[in-house]
Amino acid sequence: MKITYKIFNSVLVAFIWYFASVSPLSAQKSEPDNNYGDLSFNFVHQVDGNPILYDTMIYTNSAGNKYEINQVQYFISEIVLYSHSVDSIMFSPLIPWHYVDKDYPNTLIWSPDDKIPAGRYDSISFIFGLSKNNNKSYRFKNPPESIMFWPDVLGGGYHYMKINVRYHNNNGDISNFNCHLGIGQIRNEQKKIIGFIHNYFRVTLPASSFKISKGEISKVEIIMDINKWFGPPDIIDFNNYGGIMDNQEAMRSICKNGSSAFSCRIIE
Amino acid sequence: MNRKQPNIILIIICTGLGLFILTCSVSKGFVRNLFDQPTPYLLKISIFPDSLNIPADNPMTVEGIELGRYLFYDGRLSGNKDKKKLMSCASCHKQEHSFECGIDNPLYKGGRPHGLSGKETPHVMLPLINLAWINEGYLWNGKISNSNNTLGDEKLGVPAEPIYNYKNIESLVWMSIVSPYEIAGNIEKTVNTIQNIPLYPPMFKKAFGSDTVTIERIDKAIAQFIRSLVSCNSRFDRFMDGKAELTTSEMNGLTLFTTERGDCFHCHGSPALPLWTTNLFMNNAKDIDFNEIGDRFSVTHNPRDRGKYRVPTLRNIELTAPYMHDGRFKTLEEVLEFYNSGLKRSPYVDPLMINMNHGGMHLTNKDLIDLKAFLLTLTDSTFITNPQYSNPLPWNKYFIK
Ligand code: HEC
Ligand code: HEC
Repeated sequence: MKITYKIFNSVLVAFIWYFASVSPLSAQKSEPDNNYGDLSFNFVHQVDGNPILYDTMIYTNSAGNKYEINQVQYFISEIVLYSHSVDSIMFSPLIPWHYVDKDYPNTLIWSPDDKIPAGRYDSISFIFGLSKNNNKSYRFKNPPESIMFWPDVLGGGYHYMKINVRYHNNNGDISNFNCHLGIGQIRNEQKKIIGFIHNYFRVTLPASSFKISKGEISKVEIIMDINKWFGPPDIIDFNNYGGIMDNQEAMRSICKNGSSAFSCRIIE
Repeated sequence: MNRKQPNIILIIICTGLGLFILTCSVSKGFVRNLFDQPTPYLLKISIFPDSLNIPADNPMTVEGIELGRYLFYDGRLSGNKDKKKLMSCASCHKQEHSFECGIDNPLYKGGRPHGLSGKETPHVMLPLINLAWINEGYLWNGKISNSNNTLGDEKLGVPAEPIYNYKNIESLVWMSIVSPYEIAGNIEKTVNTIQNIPLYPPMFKKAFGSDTVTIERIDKAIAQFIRSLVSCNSRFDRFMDGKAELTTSEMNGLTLFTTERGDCFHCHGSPALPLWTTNLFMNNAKDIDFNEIGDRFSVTHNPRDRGKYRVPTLRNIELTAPYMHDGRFKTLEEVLEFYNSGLKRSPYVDPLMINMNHGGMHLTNKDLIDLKAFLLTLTDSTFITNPQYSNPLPWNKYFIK
């Protein structure tokens, strides 16, 4: 089953790749074949423009909770590069996702093998988390990705993100809050799960116009401001939660906040 | 039109290449037999992660594993033939307890083992299963790891030489021989004793090419045997494979385990990580102060690591009481009661322990019973009876029963 799926998937992806990266080329027959460059991403985590000091109780969220950040792990996937001169291309469709983990420095840089047609691009977008097609249970058997498992009863697949924090609760004691996002649940009046909601969303990076030059590597820093996940617009008071994996309302609010958590810096 | 030609050329090239590879492999097999090379042993379990912790200079072989198995059970590894002074790995690591000593062990009261000198080990035991998949460090605190560059042990008279390192399972063999908590012996004496037992030199020759016994070869052979100890056939594994069913109670237990009601899976693995551990170092809220000298802090010297231990596997958990590094819980019920209502708040607790906020999970009695029922589905009864892992000479008086 799984193997057939994998093969099918690779074939599908190869097709997308073919149409995405080869067809723009064929549209510009006059260009020499090697008119390509590379793109590499750096993942940076900040609060208010400063690099995070992990395990240090110096942050305050929009609800006024004092907190420290202990863990940041997430998937981004299906990067698309938009251009009116070279057509839009789906970037790195051969490995359509990337896992980022603050404890594994090698995940903070992603330099896929794809060659990108040279030219100016207008913007970059990606899916935060994993889209429905990619979010399949048991796809990853190796850690750290396999540790992102999302329980089948709650919709299956994998966590889109885990941010773990400690905070001072209303009594002044240390408490834990896990900002874990993934597939959400629809419940009936008896609280029984009757359906699922895919909470992933597409992020278009603001001011992400960049240039690919022949034979060169362009670098893009994807910056996530951790504090923005906790509001505004929706104010997340940690005291109201422990975990939120089966709290669709909380997950929806956090995803809403998260669409403005990303920015970028182009290092051409 | 002239497309056909390249096809023919291609066929010729392929056939030629095929024949070439075939001759190469045949002659390679011949060369191998000529020099009596050991037979490679492939360790691959499709449901487990790909990354194996096998040092490049100790590939697993059938002959190496077999030799390791003998040494693992042979009480003369202590360097003695005197009945009272026999000790080997199997003195403490018992197959029927997933290679722990067991809480009902007649020699080690309450499951707390002691060495030949009578000194109790600083921690209770860890099982010897699926250890080849641990890349994060061995022992409760992960001291034995590829990033440890210490050599030798001055206090015990072990010289600072590369073979006396603290990097992998190999290291735990020489360490057990000299450790005051275990064999409390002498490496030279052990090597001489093994060299002079007629059984062994031919086995060393088969495994390593010559009949000379060295501590390095003893380390390597036993480490190979330990890496071959694989548990992947519990009832839960068969359930995932579609070959067994779970009861409603066990299914409810699985739900509790993998959702935030019980919230065990963030640390202890899941059906998607069936080693049933993440092997990460965590503090699971047992105490308020953490002063134990053998915790993760003792390895990293990072104050945040106080009270952290490697998350143990829950495979065969039914067989490996007592529980936690200090053996404070005698039964699974006690463990579950702890997670249910005994969690202690402190700044050291891992942030994944969200149930710490309220002192525990606060499940009903029925849910606790279901959670335990699920844990019992992780018992692999074929592992504890697998003849490949058992004492090879049970009738021999030197071999540990
Ligand atoms: C006196 C009892 C005793 C004897 C004898 C003994 N061990 Fe152990 N073993 C232990 C205990 C206790 C631990 C856990 C120690 C700790 O982590 O602090 C352990 C841990 C281990 C581990 C680490 C497992 C893990 O998951 O990290 C390995 C490997 C091991 N022993 C191998 C051996 C080998 C090989 C021998 C024989 C050469 C041996 N042991 C002899 C008691 C013993
Ligand atoms: C934050 C991570 C974390 C969570 C969550 C967690 N554990 Fe643990 N667990 C640990 C660690 C670390 C140890 C070892 C602690 C020690 O030895 O002091 C442990 C030990 C155990 C042991 C004893 C294992 C042995 O061999 O001695 C059992 C059983 C256990 N946990 C079951 C559970 C169950 C059931 C849950 C959910 C209700 C759970 N754990 C939740 C980290 C965790």
